[in-house]
Amino acid sequence: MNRGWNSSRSTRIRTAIIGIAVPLAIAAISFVVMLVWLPTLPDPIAVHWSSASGPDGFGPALLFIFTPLIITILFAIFTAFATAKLTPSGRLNWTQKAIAVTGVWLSTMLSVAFLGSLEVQRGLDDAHKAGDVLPSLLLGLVLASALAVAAWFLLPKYELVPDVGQTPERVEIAPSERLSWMQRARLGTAGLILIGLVLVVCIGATVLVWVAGKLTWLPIVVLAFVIVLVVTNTWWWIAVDERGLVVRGILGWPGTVIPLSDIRSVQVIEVNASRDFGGWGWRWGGHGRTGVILTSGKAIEVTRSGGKRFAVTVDDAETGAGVIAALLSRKPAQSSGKPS
Amino acid sequence: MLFRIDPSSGVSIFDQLSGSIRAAAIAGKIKHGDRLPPARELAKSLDINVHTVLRAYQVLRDEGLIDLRPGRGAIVAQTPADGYQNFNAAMSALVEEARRLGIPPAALAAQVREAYQ
Repeated sequence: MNRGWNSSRSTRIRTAIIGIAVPLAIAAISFVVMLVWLPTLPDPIAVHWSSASGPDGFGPALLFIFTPLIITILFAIFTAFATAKLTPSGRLNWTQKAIAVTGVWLSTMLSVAFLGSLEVQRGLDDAHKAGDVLPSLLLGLVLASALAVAAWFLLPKYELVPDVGQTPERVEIAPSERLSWMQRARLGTAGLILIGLVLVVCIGATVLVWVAGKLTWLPIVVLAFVIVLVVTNTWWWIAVDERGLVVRGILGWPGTVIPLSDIRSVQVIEVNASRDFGGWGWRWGGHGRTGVILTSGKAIEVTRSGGKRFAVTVDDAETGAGVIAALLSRKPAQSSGKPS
Repeated sequence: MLFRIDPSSGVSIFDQLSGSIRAAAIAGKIKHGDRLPPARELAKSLDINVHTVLRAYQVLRDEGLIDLRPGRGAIVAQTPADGYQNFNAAMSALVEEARRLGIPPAALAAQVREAYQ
């Protein structure tokens, strides 16, 4: 009776320490160190290196030293939300564990990289003389990866939770009838807010670089890429017909078609975007599970002939799944009876 | 929404398609402001000619049920669902009875058409 409660308490404590407290502590310590270094730094400091020959971007130090802390805090909030609901036996699922570990990796990587790039500037009167930062980036990568691996083993074993889905009610279909179920879907509010934040950060960063007079093609390419992602991942059409399950962004890309012949079974599942897939958009949920996850709620989930699963969240998922079930039930008769 | 056509029913496809959308509007399954699939996508989905879909959409536009705007696709303009309670009730009763008697959908449609003319 008590075991579920005990294990959920232990999971919560370990997740809070490893996935939230440790990353915050790492970022806080590096923040304090950078703050202490502040008087010894040139003004402005070097913030961007594009080759070994020296820095080529400069900016105010105070803004720079806040960056790892702010990103770590935002990610810790995301981790807290994503791990709020544990599996029925009080453990983490694969995605939740991956999120917690990513927090450790991210905070270590950022802290070491930022510390390293300030360290080479201490005592300089002009940031142009700053040395190379590549060694500290490599050190950050190694340290972050080592800590992430340690975090993975310190967290409780993840639990594979089978989807408890509902078998959809088969939609009626006459032998000669053609069905098409088409539904428009939009990225949910939570996803829109996140995408908006990313967009604001990208635009802000581009403007900062531009003001610093160092606008190269790189930030513009990044910004354009993010805008393309926003447009192509916000509105979708989901269709079910003789072609199978067709999921396509409003501009026709990205998209996928899962042919009926490749669908072994279909069910309607309840999806929690951050807990089950670690966010929104085109997601990989671990263990052969992918999905176009636009919002938390009902989703059509098909199991492919190889055992892999694909889920798409959509309004009226019951009808869509019901049409797949109807078409599947008709398939053998049709393929043997109608030459095409 | 769910679109149904039956190429073997003898009724022209565009007529079946516009009927299918009209029925969804009457039953309240699609609402004011809803967007119908782009004609090209729906044509691909049903494996029919895109002009057939466009013709069905034009019929519905002429009835004032949808707005067709270049580049924006087909948007449901008004739904007649409000005045249709009796109609919807009679329709479910009819379908229920047809099911009981084992009359297939195509045959029921033919019966209704016959009775109407």
